[in-house]
Amino acid sequence: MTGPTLRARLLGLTEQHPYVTAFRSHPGFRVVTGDDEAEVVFVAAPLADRPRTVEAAIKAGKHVVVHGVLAEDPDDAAAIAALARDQGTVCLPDYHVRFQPAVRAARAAVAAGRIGLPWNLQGDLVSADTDARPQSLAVHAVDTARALVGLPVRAVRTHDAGSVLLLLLTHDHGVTSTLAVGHAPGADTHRYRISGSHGMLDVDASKPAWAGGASMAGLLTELHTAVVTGRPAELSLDDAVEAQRVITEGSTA
Amino acid sequence: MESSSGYNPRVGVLVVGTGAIAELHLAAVHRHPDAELAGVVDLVPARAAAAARANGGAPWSADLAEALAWPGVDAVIACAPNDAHAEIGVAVAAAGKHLLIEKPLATTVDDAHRLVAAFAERGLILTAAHTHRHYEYARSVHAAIAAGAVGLPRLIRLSVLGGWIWPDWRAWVLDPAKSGGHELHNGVHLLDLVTWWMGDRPTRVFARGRKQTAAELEIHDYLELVVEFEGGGVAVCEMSRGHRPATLGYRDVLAVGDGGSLAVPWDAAASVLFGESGTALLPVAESDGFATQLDAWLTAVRGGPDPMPAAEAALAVTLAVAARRSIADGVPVEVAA
Repeated sequence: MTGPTLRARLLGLTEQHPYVTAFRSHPGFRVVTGDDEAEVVFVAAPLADRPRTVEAAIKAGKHVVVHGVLAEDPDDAAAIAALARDQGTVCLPDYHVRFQPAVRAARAAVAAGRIGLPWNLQGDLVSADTDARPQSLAVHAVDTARALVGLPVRAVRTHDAGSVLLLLLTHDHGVTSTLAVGHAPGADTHRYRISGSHGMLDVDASKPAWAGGASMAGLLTELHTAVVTGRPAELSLDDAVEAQRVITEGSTA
Repeated sequence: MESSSGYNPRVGVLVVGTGAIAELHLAAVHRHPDAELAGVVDLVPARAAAAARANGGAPWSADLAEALAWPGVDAVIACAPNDAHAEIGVAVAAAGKHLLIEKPLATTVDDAHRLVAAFAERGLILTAAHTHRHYEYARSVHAAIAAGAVGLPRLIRLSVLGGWIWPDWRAWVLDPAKSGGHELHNGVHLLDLVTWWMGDRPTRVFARGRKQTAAELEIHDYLELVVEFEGGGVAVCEMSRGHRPATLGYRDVLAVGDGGSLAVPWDAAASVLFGESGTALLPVAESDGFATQLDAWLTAVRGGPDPMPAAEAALAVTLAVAARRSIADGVPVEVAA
């Protein structure tokens, strides 16, 4: 890691949150407590306050990482994403799964044609955290699916089973994805399977054992690089808007 | 089954159809101490004769009615193509014989109900060969869920993925008029299992299918079957014969409930073999589902409990037909109560 250390203000995170550890252990960041001195703001405010908090940070010229869902209303989310584009600061959703080591390798393998043309993805993200809202987890799974197959989502059907949300996505070229997200006591399932014309790729995103925190570190590195080099980050608040649209506009009829 | 002593535990079994699946049933018959092969039937005389020779010189015929009248025939195992199931079933019921019939029970919902009624009216046992119910993985998942391992099930995933197994365009399975389509031919296995595991009434089916191996296929070699249940739970079944590599043999189960989760992942069974020619999986020796299935059916035939009531096989047909319609129309299909 080279380049300047960025001062980061973390809003709404308890000291035990993994992102606090990620920021504190990342050589590119130094955690600060004052708004004025911060160059980067991580926003984990309650969802009701989140859009306003993100908007204020963008208008103050900060680089922003948004925790989870950007806004309850996809149109509000789109307006914030447009503001971020106009402002020119680096603004990301905290969709760190795409930076998890196994997922990164899988993305590269798919992009290199190692399974041929992908035609289906199956994903399961089942957390032991029974307070986790399936809809909040779903944005991570949707973003990961989009990153893995490299295609936008054109249609979605959903089934709400309470502690589990099922999302049936249709991408371009007839590619389909099915994502099950939710929670169960003691559960620890996080995996993606991509089927292609010439092979299949089974990705266990809970492995390798040493990778705890690696996905968040990867996202922070992407953020740092984008800020210090001016290279656009590989994801933006537009990705948050897309993930949110998938979850809110799913048809159940 | 009657003898001078009043009770003969041996059941005389007539096997109808002599294709690949019949060989598995025949092997189970030969191994079972209480089963006796009473003969074989095939529409093609040469095939019937060859099967008879291969099975110890058993009687053979190309005429089902004639064979049903043979002495010593107590029950029938039917392994003919799917579109013949209804006709065979009606004939077997009329002859007063019990029937173990390859899945699907029938290729239409009406025929499935007609068969259930025909056997029930005569007090005969009708069982569809949903063999997966007799494999250890399926039984263990059912037992765990029934014992409360996941609490109230909310999601069940079952994936059975493999490559192309049918020989060429002449395979009758590829003709939807004969097989009913892949939804009925293999989809019923998964639809039945997840319904059995969920322990709830299916209310709606949404399905997606692909013709992965060839655009010219008239069946979907990849199926994704989503079943919604009355209590709000949902099941996702994947049945594939369109995966690559063609040698793929992949089975995966995930059950998530409000009290926990249960996984039987694809890599939970096989050992890993590191050999000079490379690394390979060494599959475990599976339990013989055909033998267990035969034993369960014979138990029911002789008045014991019926582990697979015919109505459940008819429900699997209903779900598969709904899945086929869902794929055709692109919308969910309601399942009548």
